[in-house]
Amino acid sequence: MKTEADNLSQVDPRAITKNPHNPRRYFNDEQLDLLRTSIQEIGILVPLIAYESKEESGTYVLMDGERRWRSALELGLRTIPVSLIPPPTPLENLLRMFNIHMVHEDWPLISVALALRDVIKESGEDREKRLSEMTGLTRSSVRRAKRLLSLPEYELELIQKEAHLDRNEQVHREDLYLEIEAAESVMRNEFPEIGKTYSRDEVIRQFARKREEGSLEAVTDFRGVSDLIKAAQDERIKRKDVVRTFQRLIEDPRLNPRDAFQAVGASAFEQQTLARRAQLFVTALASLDESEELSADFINQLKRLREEIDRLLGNS
Amino acid sequence: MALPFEAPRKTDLRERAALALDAAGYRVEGALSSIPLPEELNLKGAIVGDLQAVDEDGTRSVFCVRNDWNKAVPQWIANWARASHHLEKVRIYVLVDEVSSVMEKSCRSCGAGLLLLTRGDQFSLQTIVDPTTLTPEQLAAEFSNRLKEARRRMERKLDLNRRDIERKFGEVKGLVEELSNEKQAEYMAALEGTDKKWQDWGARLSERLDEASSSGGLEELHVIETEIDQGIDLQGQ
Repeated sequence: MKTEADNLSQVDPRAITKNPHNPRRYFNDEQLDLLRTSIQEIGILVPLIAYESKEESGTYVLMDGERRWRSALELGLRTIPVSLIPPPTPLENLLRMFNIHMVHEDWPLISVALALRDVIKESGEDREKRLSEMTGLTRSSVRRAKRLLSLPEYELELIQKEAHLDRNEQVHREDLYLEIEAAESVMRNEFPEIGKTYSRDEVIRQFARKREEGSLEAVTDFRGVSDLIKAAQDERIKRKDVVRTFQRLIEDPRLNPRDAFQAVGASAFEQQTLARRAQLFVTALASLDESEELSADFINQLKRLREEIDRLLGNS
Repeated sequence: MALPFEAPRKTDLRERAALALDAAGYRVEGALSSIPLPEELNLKGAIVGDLQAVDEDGTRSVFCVRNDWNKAVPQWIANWARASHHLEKVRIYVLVDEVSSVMEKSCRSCGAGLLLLTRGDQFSLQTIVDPTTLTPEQLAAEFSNRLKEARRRMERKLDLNRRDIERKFGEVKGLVEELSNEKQAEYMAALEGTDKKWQDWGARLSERLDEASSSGGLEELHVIETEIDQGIDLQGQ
């Protein structure tokens, strides 16, 4: 059986074209400078992988080696070493790209998601487990990628445009949108009346605007939405007040979800937390034997606890 | 034309640069030529760049557009710049939209020109470094001076810090007499450890300066200069 090493050729880099299944990616100059210097001074040591194009004779489609290819074009290399493989089927092409790039671990989540979209389209397979087996991604990566793919196309474009930037330069980050998607989903499920007024795309756009306008301290501020929903289980909080708060949260890009939670649900949330802790404490106390001697410090703490309980229950 | 996988910021800067070059009277070429490199430099490929212009006497200017204006010229462009001084009628320019002393210094060291893209009513160019004023001899002297200066700064820093440690050793009795024996031993060990770190730092940088001297590595020299400024990492890395 012929191996890739047997099909090593010297190919003009200008005869190579991008793989149509390679997600759109950008390389910064800084990311490539060391490689360019190395190639200029030493040459390309690891052959690229490509196959001959069926559509255009004499041209090759790249499977692996984008950075080396790009550097070779910039450095004016006349030929570069390429391992030629037989043309794959579209699905084989996609899966092979996954295998190659998963080994390198160099794809951002958005690139994984867009490539996964092509795999789903080509194969007709949508099940998480099967996609994980086919691509080599973990099931949790498949899940995250699918969540990202559920976003409106406009938002995916924004993420993709910035994917090549340093993390601190990105406004439209993947983790931001995963938080937004989770917040929108739980809000819609627990408060379907919100869905009657605002479409999913609209809510996502409005939530993204909070980041664009600098209203967030962290992308995790959107967890204020689920905290508010938990707090809303408290009988003292009126459902219509929560709905009104969510409406304000959607309509006002300057309103931070944490602030919205503070205004309406903070007290209830805190009491829910204390109630859970009290339950654990009661269980622990109940397990103590009455005949067991108690330390002076423990007795003092119990007395203080009783005073606080009397104070709070005296007010109810 | 943008190369595959080119970052949008680079494409944008190149387009602005083309407008500015045109406004400045350069005859910007539609297609890029590959200029062969002198064989004796043993480099792969050719000189290409992001934009090229040819003037009336056939001098070809090659422009390398860079977004990271606050860093040194990368080695591969510095190699082109050095090569251009071995060729007739070829000049290399780095083109940026902000300028820093690091970039300017590194351009002077390798013989590249430096142009600043400015924007008033239209895009225009300001010459920060003119490559025609830099001869190969001047470049070599400039590099050699930088190396010497780096070595002087390294030795001065090493000397100052080791003297400080020596002084502390001398004063150690007074400093630690109220501490337990265990703490005293810890303090002494820490002082000795720091002294060893400085010695190793000095030896390592000295070796690298020697290597940079023989390789003419501009980027490496810049990295060494940064490490000299930073000193040792007292947290133990």
